Amino acid sequence: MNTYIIRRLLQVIPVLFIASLITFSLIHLVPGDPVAMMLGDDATPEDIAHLRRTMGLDRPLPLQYVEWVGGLLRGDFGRSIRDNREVLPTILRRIPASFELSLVSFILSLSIAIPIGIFSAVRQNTPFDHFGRVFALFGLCVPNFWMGLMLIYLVGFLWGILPMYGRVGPVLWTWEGFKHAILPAITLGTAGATLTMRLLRSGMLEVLRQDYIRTARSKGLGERVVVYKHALRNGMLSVVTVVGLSVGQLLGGSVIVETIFSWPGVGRLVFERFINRDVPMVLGALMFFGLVFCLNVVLVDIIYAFLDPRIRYD
Amino acid sequence: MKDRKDLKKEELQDLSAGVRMENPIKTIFKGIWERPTAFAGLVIIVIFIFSAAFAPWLVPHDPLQMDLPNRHLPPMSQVTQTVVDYTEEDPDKMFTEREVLFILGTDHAGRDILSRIIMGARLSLFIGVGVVLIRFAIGVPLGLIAGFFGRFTDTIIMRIADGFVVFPDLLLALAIMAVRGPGIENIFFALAVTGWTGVARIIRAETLSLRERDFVQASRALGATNKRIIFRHVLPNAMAPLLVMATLGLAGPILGEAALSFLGLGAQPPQISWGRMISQARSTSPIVRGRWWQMTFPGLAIFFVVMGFNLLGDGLRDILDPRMKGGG
Repeated sequence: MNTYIIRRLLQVIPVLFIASLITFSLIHLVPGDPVAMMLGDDATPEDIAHLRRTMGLDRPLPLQYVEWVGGLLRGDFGRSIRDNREVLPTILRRIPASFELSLVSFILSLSIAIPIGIFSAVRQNTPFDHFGRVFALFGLCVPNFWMGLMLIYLVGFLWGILPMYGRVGPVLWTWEGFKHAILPAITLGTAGATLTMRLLRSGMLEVLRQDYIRTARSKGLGERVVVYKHALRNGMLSVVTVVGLSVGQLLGGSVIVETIFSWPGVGRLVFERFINRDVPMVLGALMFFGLVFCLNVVLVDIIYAFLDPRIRYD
Repeated sequence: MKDRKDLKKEELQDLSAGVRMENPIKTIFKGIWERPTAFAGLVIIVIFIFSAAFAPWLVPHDPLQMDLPNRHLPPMSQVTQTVVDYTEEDPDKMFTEREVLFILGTDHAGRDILSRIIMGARLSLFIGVGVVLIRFAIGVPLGLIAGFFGRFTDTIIMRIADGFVVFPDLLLALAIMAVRGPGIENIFFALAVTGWTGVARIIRAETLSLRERDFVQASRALGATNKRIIFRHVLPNAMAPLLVMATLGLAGPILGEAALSFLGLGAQPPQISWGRMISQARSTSPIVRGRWWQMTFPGLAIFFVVMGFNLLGDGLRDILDPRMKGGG
């Protein structure tokens, strides 16, 4: 098991290396001058040249790349050109708020997706299953920013049930704080929830067709035991992957959701800095998200290997 | 399941008739007709494409015409509109008054929302088709090469694809838009460059399985060149998944453009974009004013179009690839 973990961690390195090349070349090699974009229309050529020099953009690209990656490896993600603060601490400071939101969203979406997923598979082609399919289709097609606005309008304004935006204190400990997290968490979690539901449903249908399920039924076990003890364990395997991978979706979705709901997390920070063309911040945030995503994939693989011994010995 | 060689000649013919479609287009349309959800998807898409194509003739009002006295009107408002109507023949008459109906209401500048939605279909369709074409132009050759030649080439191409996948949805596109600035051509670039990996992955998998099939091996044994195998055998047999992927793949760029434009990084005025309409509604009409129609209808347009492509794509997958039935 340990060798497996180490091997998986080592495999992250080339992926991150390529991701860093992609990030760097997209920002530096695409047509258009990021420095001129940053300074706006009324910048003089001298201003542009000056900023180029300060940012080190006048040096050869390979050198710039090596220095940038060297910095990343030492944990130095560079300095923002907007407030001259270091990029990494700025991001890390915003993590708790985003983490809280993701956690609430995770719990809400799983507690909806898992029961619906199981029941639609067990009661295939019943009205319940059709309802599940409609729900899945809805989550696949609804634009999350629009859904967030509609929730604010309906639940927050028209019915006045929940607060419309903002974050109050530490979410998980106070009722007031938790209430503020519900609408953004629903908006953030819908896409992932419906995906989890769909995959759990097809995973369960697959498992329920297996021979050992028929054996379990034929030796007279109750339906409840067959479904929950025999089928669910294997059906859940597919969910582990999806849930893990939907962390990427949460990170991406957080940009939009946190912006709409004025939630002071990483997503909103990233968006604010992106529209201000804070290039070091853009690069740093991309690599940070990339790292989080990769570690998460490894974590999922480890959990998967833990649950399914067949993987470990491959 | 009987083995192929045990089957009688007629049975074998039946079998091959089922596998080899006599007229693929007929099979597809028959299949869509038999599936209510796929048919609904097709209807939505036909309406969408029709609106985009004939937008200037379909709009009840000029989508760009501002009319400040009539701003923020709720749906089904019937008002008197004063328009400048000066002609040489009658110099005393400057304005004409006329009764107009705003079916879906007006926005903050008094522009007709229905007309803007119809006109906005053009941008969505344009972005959707354009981005999918570019993604295919990058993803199909790379996937073919990776799957067909395998080994080192495969490793390189798929590692590069992995490198793109580590960035969360839309974040890379957002970064590209931020650095390159807003605008249609940048949306194309940002969405195409971030989405080709899915296409490459599926084509690669398809190529890998086709490469080992008997008819390809036979062709190779007869001395066919790689080029001939790729263009005569692999590519034509990968057409079905390509068609499904193209249909399902149209939804992504449409949603992506809407999100980027909503964030202010996409379409710029006077381009009409559904995402931008929602963002303008949000910035000009605070929620507490209760002007729900300004953001609801453009959002519904996005929702239904994305749903149309998903329903039709799922239906096509069912029709063209019976192995996938029941899943998902």
